[in-house]
Amino acid sequence: MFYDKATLIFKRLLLAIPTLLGVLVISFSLTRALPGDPAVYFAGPMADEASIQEVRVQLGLDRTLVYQFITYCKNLAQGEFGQSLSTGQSVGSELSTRLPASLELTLFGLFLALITSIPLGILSALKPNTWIDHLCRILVTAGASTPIFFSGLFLMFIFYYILGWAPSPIGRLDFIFLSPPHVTGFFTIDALLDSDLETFYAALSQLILPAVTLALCALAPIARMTRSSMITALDSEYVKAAKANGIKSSVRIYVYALQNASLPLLTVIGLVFGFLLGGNVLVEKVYSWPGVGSFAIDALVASDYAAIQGFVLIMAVLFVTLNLIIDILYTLFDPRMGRNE
Amino acid sequence: MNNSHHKESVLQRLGYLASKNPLSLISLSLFGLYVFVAVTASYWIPFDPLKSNTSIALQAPNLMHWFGTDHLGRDVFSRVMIATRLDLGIAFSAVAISFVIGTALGSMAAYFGGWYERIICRVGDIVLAFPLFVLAMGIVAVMGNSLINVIYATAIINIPFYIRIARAEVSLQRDRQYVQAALLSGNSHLRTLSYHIFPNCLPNLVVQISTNMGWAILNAAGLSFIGLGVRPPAAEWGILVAEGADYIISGQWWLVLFPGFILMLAVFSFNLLGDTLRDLVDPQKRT
Repeated sequence: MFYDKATLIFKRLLLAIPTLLGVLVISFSLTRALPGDPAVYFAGPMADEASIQEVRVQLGLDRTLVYQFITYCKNLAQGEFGQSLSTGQSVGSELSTRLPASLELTLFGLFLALITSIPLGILSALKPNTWIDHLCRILVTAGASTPIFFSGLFLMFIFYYILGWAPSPIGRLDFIFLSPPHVTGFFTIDALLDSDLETFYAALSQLILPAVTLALCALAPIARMTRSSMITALDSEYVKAAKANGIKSSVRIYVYALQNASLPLLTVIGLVFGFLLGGNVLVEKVYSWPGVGSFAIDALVASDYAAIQGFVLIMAVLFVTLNLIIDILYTLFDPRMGRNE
Repeated sequence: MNNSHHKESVLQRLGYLASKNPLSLISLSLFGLYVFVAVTASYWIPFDPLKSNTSIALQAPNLMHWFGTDHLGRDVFSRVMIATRLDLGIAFSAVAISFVIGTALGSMAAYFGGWYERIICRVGDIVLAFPLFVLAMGIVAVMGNSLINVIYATAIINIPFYIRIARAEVSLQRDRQYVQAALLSGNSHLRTLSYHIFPNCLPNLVVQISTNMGWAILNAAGLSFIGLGVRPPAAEWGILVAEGADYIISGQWWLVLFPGFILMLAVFSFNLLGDTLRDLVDPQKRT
């Protein structure tokens, strides 16, 4: 049985290779599809014919596409994403310093979404077609319909302008605090590791509004999936058998049914993570969060293609990796997998 | 089958659903309202949406300016209303493009099978391997920052969904007897696919279209919020919110609230409409 699961996981890992290759091809063609000649673009506006030719040779643009693609992959393997035209910095180092800020925000948002939407979904599954269920449905549909930048601005207006509870939305930490020593790059965790509670609260208070904004848009799909898979699970033979055997309803619901309903949830979490990576860009703009999203927006404004390409690639690789992890977890947790193969 | 009888029963079902579930009624009327505003807004908005008058800048909502005025003294109500046509137009064109391309690819994949099917599905999966909003940003950045490219980008990221649904639907129909009957009576494959199989796949595709319209509006508004696509001074919900964003921390809430709320309501009504249509198409499938 263990051997079967290992084979399944190995097969899944192999399946990720063509996907990653496809992602690489698309992101490679994103720069090669630039309007006009990429060499002219990368040489800058002041370049003459000779220096354009020089850039063309330097970038390998005079070679075949296959050769260019292989060089591109080689450079990526060495962490070389190219130079950002607007800042002159290497895109790779810029992205890696900014990535923790975005990840901290996304993961915390996902966490908030999970701890609210799963109980909501269970509640409406326990009482389907009652007012609770309808209320959940409305809430959830409203959450899915709210543009993330709108809910972000609105939360900011209420909690910063009217109530004054939240600190001013100017990034990850107020100016009066020093950023905690770099361990994970997540300010909240680093501050805790440094046992600096004051900085921890400061970082958390900056984090909470943007994270809630993200969570609001992730609520809907998770709650929906919880509801429908819980309804299926509660309706199944094993729960009925448990009931007939006199097992307490709390055990029946939270152990028997929820355990089985949690597998489809994993898949949805993978999907939601993709929304969140996109939504992150908008939230980062609203809250001036110094993550990869605001870097990408600056790059867009400056038509800085190397930076945008690096950003798109990083996001896709993150997303593919997460889905891979989820599929592996699925294989590990689902006892049916690998048995009948 | 008697066609008029069929149509009547669809209307009856809609009426039944509307009376049974008030949300369905709301979604249908909201949808009608948005279409009405999109078509007629230019005839009845009280002010010129582009005309600025700095002497009345940043007025809170009042009897004269229902949604207030912006930093250039333009009437927010007129701008929000006139934007309906642009936003629905973007979403509609994007969804139309992805519907046509996606269903064509998907149904041919299912019908002809083999390598063709494998390649199409693979490419669709690779597109879905990207966070879609991020991919749309990348596409617009590369193709050039213009309205038409926002439409194309929104269309491209939605194509895989249509491929999937069309493929699933067509592969359910492909081996039915009526298909063989159609082929045996001399129809070509393409004709059988488009005139015999496709109409039977439409209901579920229509549900997808409705939900997709909501996403498309959100996506386009998100792109213009970060400065892609529609350019100021044109009125578009995403841009209106972006313009108002600078003023919200000084308390001018109406610049963000009204366009944001109208945008949200539009997406909300399309999502609800999708649910209603799903109930109509397949009453057992309610999630």
